[in-house]
Amino acid sequence: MRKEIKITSIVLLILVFSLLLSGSVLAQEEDHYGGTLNAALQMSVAHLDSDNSTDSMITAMMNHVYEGLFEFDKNLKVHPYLAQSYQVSENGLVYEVKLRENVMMHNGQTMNADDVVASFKRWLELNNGGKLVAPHFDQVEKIDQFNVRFTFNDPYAPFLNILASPVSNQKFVVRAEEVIDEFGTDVIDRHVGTGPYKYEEWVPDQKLVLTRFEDYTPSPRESSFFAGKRIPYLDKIVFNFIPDAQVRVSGVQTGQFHFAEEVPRDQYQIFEMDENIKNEIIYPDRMSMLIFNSSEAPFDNKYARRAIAYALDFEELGYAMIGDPQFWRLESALHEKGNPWHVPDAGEGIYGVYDPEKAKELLDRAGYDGQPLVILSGQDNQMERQGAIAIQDQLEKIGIEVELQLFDRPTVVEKRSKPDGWHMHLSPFIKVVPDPQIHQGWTGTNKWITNWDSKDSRQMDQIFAEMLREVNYEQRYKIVERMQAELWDSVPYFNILDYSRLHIRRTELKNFQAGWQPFFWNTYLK
Amino acid sequence: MLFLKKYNKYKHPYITASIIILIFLVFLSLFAPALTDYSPVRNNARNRLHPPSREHLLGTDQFGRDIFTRILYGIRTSMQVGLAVVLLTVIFGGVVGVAAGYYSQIDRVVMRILDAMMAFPGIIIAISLAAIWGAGKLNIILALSFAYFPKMARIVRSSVISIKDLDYVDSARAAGAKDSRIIVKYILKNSASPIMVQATFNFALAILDEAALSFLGVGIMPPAPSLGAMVTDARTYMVVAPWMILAPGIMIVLAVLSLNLLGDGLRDLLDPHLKNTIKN
Amino acid sequence: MRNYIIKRILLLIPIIFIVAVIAFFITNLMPGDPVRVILGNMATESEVARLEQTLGLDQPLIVRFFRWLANIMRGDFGDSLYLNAPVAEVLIKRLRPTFLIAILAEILGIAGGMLLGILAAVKHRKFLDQFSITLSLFGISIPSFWLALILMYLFSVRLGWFPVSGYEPFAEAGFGTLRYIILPAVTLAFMQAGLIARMTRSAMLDTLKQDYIRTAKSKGLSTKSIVFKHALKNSMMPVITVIGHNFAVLLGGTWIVETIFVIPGTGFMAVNAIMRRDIPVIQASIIFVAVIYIILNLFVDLSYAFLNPKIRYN
Repeated sequence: MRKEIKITSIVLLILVFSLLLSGSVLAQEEDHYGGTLNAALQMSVAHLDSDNSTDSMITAMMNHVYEGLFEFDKNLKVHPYLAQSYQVSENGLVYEVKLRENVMMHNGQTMNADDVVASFKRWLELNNGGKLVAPHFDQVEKIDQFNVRFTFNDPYAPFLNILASPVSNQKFVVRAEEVIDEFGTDVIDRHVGTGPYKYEEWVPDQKLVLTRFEDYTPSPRESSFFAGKRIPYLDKIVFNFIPDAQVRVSGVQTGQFHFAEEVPRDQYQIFEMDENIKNEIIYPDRMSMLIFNSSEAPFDNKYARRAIAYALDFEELGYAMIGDPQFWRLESALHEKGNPWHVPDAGEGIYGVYDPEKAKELLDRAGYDGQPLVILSGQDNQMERQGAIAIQDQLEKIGIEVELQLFDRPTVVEKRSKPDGWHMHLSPFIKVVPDPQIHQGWTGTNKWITNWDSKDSRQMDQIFAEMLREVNYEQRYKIVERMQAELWDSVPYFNILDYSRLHIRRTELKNFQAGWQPFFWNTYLK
Repeated sequence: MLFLKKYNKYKHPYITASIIILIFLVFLSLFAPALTDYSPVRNNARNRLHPPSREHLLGTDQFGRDIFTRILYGIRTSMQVGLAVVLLTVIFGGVVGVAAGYYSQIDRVVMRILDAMMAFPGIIIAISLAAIWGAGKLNIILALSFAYFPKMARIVRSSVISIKDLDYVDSARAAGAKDSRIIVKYILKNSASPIMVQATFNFALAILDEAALSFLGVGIMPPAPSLGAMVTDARTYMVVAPWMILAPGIMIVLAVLSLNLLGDGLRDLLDPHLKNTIKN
Repeated sequence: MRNYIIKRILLLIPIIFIVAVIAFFITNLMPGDPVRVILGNMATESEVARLEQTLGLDQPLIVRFFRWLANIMRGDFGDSLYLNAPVAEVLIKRLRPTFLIAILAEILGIAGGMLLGILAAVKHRKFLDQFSITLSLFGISIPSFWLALILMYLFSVRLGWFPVSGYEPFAEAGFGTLRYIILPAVTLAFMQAGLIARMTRSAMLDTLKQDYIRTAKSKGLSTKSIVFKHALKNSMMPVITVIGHNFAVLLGGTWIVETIFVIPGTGFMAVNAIMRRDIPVIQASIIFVAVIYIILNLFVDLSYAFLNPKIRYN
């Protein structure tokens, strides 16, 4: 009897002790709870239903409300998130996904396979990511309450990557079945997700207000950007839509905002000197792409397109378009160094080679008749606007006549969708892509920006088709190398440089991680 | 032109001062290329955002362009736009005003339309038209002329109405003089004063509105220099390069101020009664 | 008098109709595709066509015009393409900030302008007169967008007295709302004050020349009572006319200052709508501005006629 009492009391002591210890740790963490975060974002959104719009900002903000079946970590590696684990069949055609069992949703119910299946069917039908998957997809079925099976007709390598994709609206998020039943394909305005924050209020053109979800069930894994544990320290998050950059800046300087995205890079030094502000330069972030209208002379001929690549001084463009070299770099590959799909010698011999003589030669060879070239660009994007002005200047310096057309976004979008009336267009592409298949110039219909339709384009279609089915990484990488070589040979469009936007935050905002989209779980105010 | 006799450069200091400033501005506009070696549009991006120095009196902008040069060419643009708008407004407004004033059937229809048009602030009509026709110097000139001519037409019309039934006009008509002759000989001569005054104010307004349109991005197409567009550029770099914002604004104020001064002075000189009846 | 009022009101009808025509055609002649902006770059042709049909944008222009006209007579201004709400509802919600700014600007402009004008007239040809003339000329010569930026830089960025941007409605901030609207209102007030000062000065000068004023002076009445009891009242008419006629310009000015200071009023809404081709909102905004102006002018003209019977029988 005595021995048992001894053991029991020791065990009890240990338990009490560890409880006290964890209590103090918890108490420290509890300090971090509280506060309302005010973030200043650049553009307002039309609504909050990511399936119904390609605006990536919707996904970015609603990442706090909805979570994905799979999510990316800091190194762009995909992990199960709302999924507990998964298995892929030998032939790559069947994915069996086991769900986490105790995930609470905002309506007080537990997430289960019905929610996943309903959300997935809607995603497949409406969402651009889903539409990429759909042609290869057979069916999704509920095996039991916490198990789902995805069956494909042919092997589709990018599947999991697309589910977690930050590009456009592609990401697959789990919504409550009841909401899907209520809204069908119409724009959802009642939000029930699994995320650390709940939807509270949306004032169009002004703000989105989210409040902490008290019954949130975090992932048990270690935190890394979007994957792993998310802790909602902040009571409330308010996303303010402030289109004017200077106003965002001043808001942070005066303490009105804790975070502002996309502030003028040229004020970097000023922020460095301000002890209340911290600069956040995001890399990889964006690429500046020069896009040709490949259906109209002269750029229906690849020599004319190559000519432009030789005609431009990329470095000077960097200074004109972006400014401070801290924010841009020359990088010929579509995937940055460190990314598993990076191709080191892409574009050798043509990328960054400034040779106006060769350019003129190539233009002659292409039969360019000297007609003025129209650059179409948007007023509202600094890179597009300043890049277009700089490109016009450079080309005119070597004798090529260029007509600059700067318009507001709706007019640009309209004109660019036409097969004629424009020759060149500058566009910001996102450098952060989940998968080489999610090539922004290629996803969806490959002719949407370039009107490229020739022997070369069909060869590129072929390469992409192979890439799609190749599940083995080494083999797939070789295909990616071929794609890069092809792109730099026929240049239907090409990347001029990588650039970063500058975000700023106040020093009171702690534990902020500079990811490709701003997120505020695990951050706290002090 | 009787009124010139009344003008005495000492008695009318405002007119004198404004004319001096205007001559200065016109001089800058005409001789811009001679006053500077730099091009207003050629880039030199590695040289960007330098503060005022000996090489660059007002510094450089974000493309490395010389700001002083761009100011000179910007004034030229403002003057060109202002002058063109005034000419179009006077011609168009004059024709419509005379027609409405002289022939009452035309008057009824036309005045309703003009009243409707004048219900919109000029800037709003100009923004909308610029959005329709696209940006560019010619389009803005047309848009602003369109926005201003109703008021000019109204002024001309009032003038015509007050004159057309006067005795000496009646007798001319009775003597068989053709309408066109009457219009030219008597009516236009008497409308000259209010037209001139309004034209001066329109010039000022055109410069302001062109700047506002360019500021909003629906005005002069870059890289052509425009004082308003320079304010927009300056805004992005306001904190790092505050000098960029002063010069274009000051030039706009100078041009508009001198024109308003001139308009005031002319109105005092030509017809002091106009003051309490006509708004600005 | 009653006949005059009725006549004026009846005259409004054709004018408002023409205003509607202008508003509709200006808006729908703008190039640019809101549908493609809403759907994003990767939309397919069929999606674009489907949304166009839903929004009724595929009909011929005349059909759309008459449908729109019929609707607005019932008070239905359509739904905003981007704000997911009926236009009328959005417009009403945004009215308050705009009116707050406009009214504050008008008050400051009237106060400052009249003060300056009266001083100038009373101290005619002395330094104060010259000074006020120059000052008021400056007021009407400064571009409002530039002035707004300078004020913002000085008072918000450097001195920190006011927030740089944004707005909190009465319900949340009570009198704190003032902090957000002061700079925009002051920006607009500059021009108002300039115009009002000029008109006040010249009207006062004319009145002060009148015989009865000289009589009052010789009777020994103080300057103050002459000015405020007699001269001012009789100078008001042209001043009121100026205020009325320039309210439209003031409203136009709110579009710019609301955009710069990010105030969610009708002006900012209109500018955003134009930038992204939110057609129903653009149409409604244009009509709104015009109608306010027309009603205000009617008011001014009617009070003019009321006070000065000669006008009525014109």
